[in-house]
Amino acid sequence: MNRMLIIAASSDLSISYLESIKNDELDIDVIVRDSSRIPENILSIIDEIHEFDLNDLESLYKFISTSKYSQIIFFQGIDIIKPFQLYNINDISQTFNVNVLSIILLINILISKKYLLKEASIVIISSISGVTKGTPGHVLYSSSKAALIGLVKSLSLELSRRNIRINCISPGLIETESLFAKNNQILSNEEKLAYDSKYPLGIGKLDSLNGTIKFLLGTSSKWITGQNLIVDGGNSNV
Amino acid sequence: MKNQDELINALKDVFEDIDTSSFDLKTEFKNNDEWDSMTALSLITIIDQEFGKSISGEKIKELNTIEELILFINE
Repeated sequence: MNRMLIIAASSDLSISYLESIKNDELDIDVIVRDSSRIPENILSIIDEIHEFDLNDLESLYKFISTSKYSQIIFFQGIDIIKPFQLYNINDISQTFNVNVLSIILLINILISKKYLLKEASIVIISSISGVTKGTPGHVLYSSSKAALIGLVKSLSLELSRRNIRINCISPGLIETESLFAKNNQILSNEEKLAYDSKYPLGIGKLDSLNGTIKFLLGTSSKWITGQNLIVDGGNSNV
Repeated sequence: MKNQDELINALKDVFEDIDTSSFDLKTEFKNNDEWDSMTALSLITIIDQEFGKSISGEKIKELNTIEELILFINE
């Protein structure tokens, strides 16, 4: 039976993915900062909960598990929106700790403690803002997401000896609750409409990545590794 | 007026080229060459950092003078 580890499991995208697999034959462990942020019906399908603040790398380094995993997904992504010159050292370290270093550290632990099963598949959620589209005000987010693409390229070559695969998905704009919280602060209605016109298939929904995640985790993609899949409703071609 | 000096001082970090030392209550802070979406984002950030107050882009559209901005902060 497959065992899955989901990191940043209380994020909107993670909850949507968990919804989509809740009837699958799977054991699911999660890493989450605050498990009370996971809805009840989702909590019931989770086997083991590990509570960690991904900004606290010293604590995260103590992660131990009694299980081995065949599917891993990293959902973390914080975006501190400011003009570049107003970023302070906390903004910078927090963004890179959560978005990049926590992933590097956890994969390091998973490999060195032999928590990865042979033929395991790892999926990391990056962003088009690290690949195809720059965005003013989001420089830390963009640069941290771009780092993941490089991570996957080289690490895939080290993991391939054991047939372990690692890939990124770079989504376009998705209507998450946190996006709306931010946009209410910054974007006017005209600007929201302008966004719509840049997405031929519309702005992403919460479940827009689920099929791609499942594909990359499963054996249908067994000859794909070290790749970055752009899933953006056609945005990069506009 | 409460927070007047603090706000005018903080605006130094919003504008890069404009000399903000002559700013007063009647100054229209958006009526200059440097005002754009990035200066607006700077202002949102500064008001949050310095005054612990969150201001929306829509709200900034409604406000014109520094006095109106201070009244919003002091609300």
